[in-house]
Amino acid sequence: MRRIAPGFLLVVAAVLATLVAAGALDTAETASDLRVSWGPEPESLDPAVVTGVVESRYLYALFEGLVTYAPDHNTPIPGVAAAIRRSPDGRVYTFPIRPEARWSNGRPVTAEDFVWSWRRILECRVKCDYVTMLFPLRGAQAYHQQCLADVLLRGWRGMDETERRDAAQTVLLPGARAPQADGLRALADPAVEPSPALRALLLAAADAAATRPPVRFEDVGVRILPDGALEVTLEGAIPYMLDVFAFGTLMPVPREAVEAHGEDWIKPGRIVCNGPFVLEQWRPHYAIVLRRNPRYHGASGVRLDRVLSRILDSGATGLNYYERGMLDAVDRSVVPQDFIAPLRDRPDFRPYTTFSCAFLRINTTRPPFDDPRIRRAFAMAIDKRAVAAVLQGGEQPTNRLVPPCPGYRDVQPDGLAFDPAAARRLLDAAWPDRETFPRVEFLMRNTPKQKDLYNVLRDQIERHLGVRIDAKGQEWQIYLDSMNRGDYGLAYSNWSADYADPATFVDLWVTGGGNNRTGWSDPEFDRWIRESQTETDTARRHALLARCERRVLEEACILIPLYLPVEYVMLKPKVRGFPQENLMDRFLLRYFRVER
Amino acid sequence: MTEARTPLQMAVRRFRKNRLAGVCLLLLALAVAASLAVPAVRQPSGAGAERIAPGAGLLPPGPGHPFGTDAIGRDLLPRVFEGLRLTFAVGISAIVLSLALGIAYGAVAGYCGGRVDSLMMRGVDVLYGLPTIAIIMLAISVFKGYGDLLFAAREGILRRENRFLWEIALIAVVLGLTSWLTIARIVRGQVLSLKEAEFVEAARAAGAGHLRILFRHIVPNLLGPVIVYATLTLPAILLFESLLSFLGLGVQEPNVSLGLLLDDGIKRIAATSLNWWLVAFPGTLLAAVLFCLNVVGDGLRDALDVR
Amino acid sequence: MTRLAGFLVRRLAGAAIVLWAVLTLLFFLVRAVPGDPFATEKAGNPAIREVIRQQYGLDRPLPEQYIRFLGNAARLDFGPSYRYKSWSVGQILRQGFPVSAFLGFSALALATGLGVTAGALAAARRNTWIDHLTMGVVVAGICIPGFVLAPLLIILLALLLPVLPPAGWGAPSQLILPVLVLALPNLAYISRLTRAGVLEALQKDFIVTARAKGLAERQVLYGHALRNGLAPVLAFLAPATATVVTGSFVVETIFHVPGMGKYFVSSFLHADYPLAIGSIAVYSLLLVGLNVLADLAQALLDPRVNLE
Repeated sequence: MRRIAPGFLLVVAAVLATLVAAGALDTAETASDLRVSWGPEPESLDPAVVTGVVESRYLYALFEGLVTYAPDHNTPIPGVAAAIRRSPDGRVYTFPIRPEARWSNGRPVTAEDFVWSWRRILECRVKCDYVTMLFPLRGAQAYHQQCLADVLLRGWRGMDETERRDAAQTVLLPGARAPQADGLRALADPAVEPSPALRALLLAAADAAATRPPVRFEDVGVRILPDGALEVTLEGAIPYMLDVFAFGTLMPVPREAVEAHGEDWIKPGRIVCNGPFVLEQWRPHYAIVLRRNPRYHGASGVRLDRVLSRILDSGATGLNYYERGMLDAVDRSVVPQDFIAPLRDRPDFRPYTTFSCAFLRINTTRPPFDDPRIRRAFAMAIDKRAVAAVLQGGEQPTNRLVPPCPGYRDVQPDGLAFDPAAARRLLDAAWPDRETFPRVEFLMRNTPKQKDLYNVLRDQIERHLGVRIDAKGQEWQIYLDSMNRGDYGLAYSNWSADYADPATFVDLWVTGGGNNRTGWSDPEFDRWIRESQTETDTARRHALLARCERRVLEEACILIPLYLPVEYVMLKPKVRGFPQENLMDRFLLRYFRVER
Repeated sequence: MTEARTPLQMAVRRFRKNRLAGVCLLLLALAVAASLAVPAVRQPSGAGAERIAPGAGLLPPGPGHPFGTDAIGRDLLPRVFEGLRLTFAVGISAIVLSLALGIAYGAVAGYCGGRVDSLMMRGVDVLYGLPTIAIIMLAISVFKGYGDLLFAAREGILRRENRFLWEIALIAVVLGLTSWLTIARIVRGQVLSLKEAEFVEAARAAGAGHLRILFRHIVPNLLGPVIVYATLTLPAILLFESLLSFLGLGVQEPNVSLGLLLDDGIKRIAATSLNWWLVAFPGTLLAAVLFCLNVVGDGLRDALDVR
Repeated sequence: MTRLAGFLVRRLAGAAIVLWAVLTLLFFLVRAVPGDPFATEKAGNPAIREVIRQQYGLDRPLPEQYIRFLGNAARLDFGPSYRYKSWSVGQILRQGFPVSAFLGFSALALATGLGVTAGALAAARRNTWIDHLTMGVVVAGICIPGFVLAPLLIILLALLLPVLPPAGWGAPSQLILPVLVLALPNLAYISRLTRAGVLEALQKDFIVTARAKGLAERQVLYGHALRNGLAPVLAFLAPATATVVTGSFVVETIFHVPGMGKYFVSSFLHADYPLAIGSIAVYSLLLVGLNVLADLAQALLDPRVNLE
């Protein structure tokens, strides 16, 4: 026995030591200046791929575009660009590049980096949902559609009939060009394509394509001037264009890393960054560690050496970490709303209003919601005040999509108000037999708060319409997927503005927009949006946008606004840098510091 | 002169002497009764029709709600017992399946003996050595998703209200599949020894066929050990059902199970408001039921003098 | 020696067959119901759909997919994770395995060390307070599930009395609760087994002989009784690992430990079948390997074991 015990302990110690060497305890629970949690695991760190708010916070830490923001998190200032020059008519921007701008591997950041990165997006070499961000550039949309048509033609064999019809209608017909006409005609061959409707569509697309000369990338409104500056030409002047240049999608990516590693280029050890921080560690669904980038042109102003970002699901863990001093800053996704009541009066609880709206998307491609009357019935059957009351976060109920915005507010439509009698009348007219009413799935995130929301909505709809809805709670990435492929009836959605203008809410609903996700398409609406993008008079622009908003809210009713979310963060007193007002809900680590 | 007692009477007498087991048996009976009665009394219209009281969320135990309320104001007391009812229902179904499978397999193996027995028991050994539970979780996930597709019709067997039954049946079946191994082993051992017993010889001499001998003579004599091990396996099954619900593979909202309540409760334990009742009541009830089952099982084992 | 080698080879061959059977089962299980298990439909962009199809080889006929699957599985390559868009299953498992191994091994070591000691002590001091305490802990370990004990411990030790961290992994203080909760059920079983084994051994003839020979009580206990009492414990270790694996699902989820168990559990919530299959394959490899080792150890230790 005497011999067994020490032998046992020795074996145990040896095994554990081996495992530690293999990384068992290597989870970054070590010295970090700032420990934050923003909630879920980012889908990717590739600026061209990401669409979410959480992901964009990492982007602003790791990369920098031509334009970035001042410490107030709101005023655009030159980023990689040394200066911002705008032509008087607002259609041409010139950006000289800072000579001291460097990637973390030492190579200078050049205009060529931007051109290559934007070309990568337009040519569909990366999965980009936000490609519309580049459409203000002259010729960008046409070029992208041409490239997309190529991709679709190559993948035609693997697509089923619905996909083919969708592709033909939204891309091939409006966007194919002369060189693709022959390919289209070949696909319309009866031996290849069984469906006569599709054959007709393909032939029509081929005829249309034949009339359009091909577009080259050189025709897109971006070029490099002899002195190395980047010159961008737009289709029309856009008031919020600087926000677009600062946006994640337009940030540069390091060509050498992307070409060497493919999709894996964003991993620690492979990633190359031009922002204030570099990615040091990434353990999936656990933590991300950022380390100061000494080659960043503004490195002397970055006061954090290492930042730990814990990846947490919903639930109270984040709050518990914060209370126990294991986190210094948490945002709303991590502090459940159930627990706000006792926190509200604390000095470290910092609420702020943002330019965002919570609403329900309606899937217009499937019954019952392919009928606008039913959509309107549902919209009028929900008492937004009861919904906001259950959430207990101080949310403001709303019937409008665009949050209060100076100037626009006066012309904004009212939306559909709560009117259960009218709702029932509409539904009786459209689908009188409730027994045969199709199953409605409510897509939501997998958090307790969303379950509460579901229960309230279910209660409202059952009481006022006599219809039952089922819950489908999913985690962030899967929830996005389900929305993307239209696998839902109603979906909880939350849109935070990409730039400080009502257009960011209204232009979501264009045909084929990556963030549309309702399957709704209206050419008249698309036309109004295009007009608004080139309209320089603010009043007329607002009127156009209001007309669009009325279309999506009242006439077509493809979404049901619920409430204006309240954002808040909890910050330990030692954390400095968070602005008083943060309308665009940014978190620029570059300006944060921790006081000892 | 003392009356001769049947083995059964002797067993009952031994069991009754075990006061702890007796108390536990009583508690279990109470729990079963409560799980049937309480939800019916406090929620006559069934699951999903509970009053949603937005202002009454997350209240600690108090008048009107002795177990507290959950986040949207639902009284926890009937929900806990309804969860218990579901857990029991699933558990009983699973154990019945387990028994059927285990007895059949073990009896055949034990009776045939020799190479057949060796092969069959090798199979059991192999299954023991695998992460069966993990594979079964995958199976549940696959078939659950299919259930969503299957039960989309508006009427008939496949109407969507019956999806709930599909989930329950699925869980009961897979739970049964995880637990039959031990019973098979026990039964096989018993059959091996019983095979040589006198009454079997007699039956064989009387010309009875193998199947008849097996199922009319041997199996009834297995009842003792089988009951004991069934009682001891039931806690494991109940535990596994709760585990599945806790991990999200069991029933979904608005149906309720103890595991689901615990899952929800854990997510709401915060430093600023502990909400301890959300975990304490379902957890204590579950632990108490498991404890009672274990004690009763041990008591039965002692009473029936089974090793 | 050659008999032993032959024994080993036969066991390894058996293990390989079992693993092949498991992989085959997994391959067909996810394809058992109508629908697309690999979510190629889920990509909105048809270009991406094509890429996914080719990545999984879904454009090939089924037998070819099966062969490719087996070949890849042998190299522990299970393709990209569906849920974690930026990671492959192999990368996730490679990061999660050392963590789970550390947690599981510590729990088992604790359960064995403490369990054997407690069980032996309880047997030696039968019917005293030590015995009753041990039996009390045993009962608690068997009857209180991990997902009941863990939150209660978190409430008590991490929130009410802020002694330990509420969750997380890596720093020494974060190891305590997860290892403890994971160890408890096995601790209970091992204590019970040891106690029963020692009690039984204490009654055997050779113990009486040893006592009669005048050996000190301690030597009797530790030298002889315990060694015999240990035999069932050794046999228990392989299934104990299976219990630890299952327990790790709960413990890693509640305490946010970035191990294989947590990834495995989350794979179901999101139909990430590649990750689920990869995890099960690794678990199977582990358990089957342990079984072979346990058989080998028993064969080496106990000459009575039949090597055929």
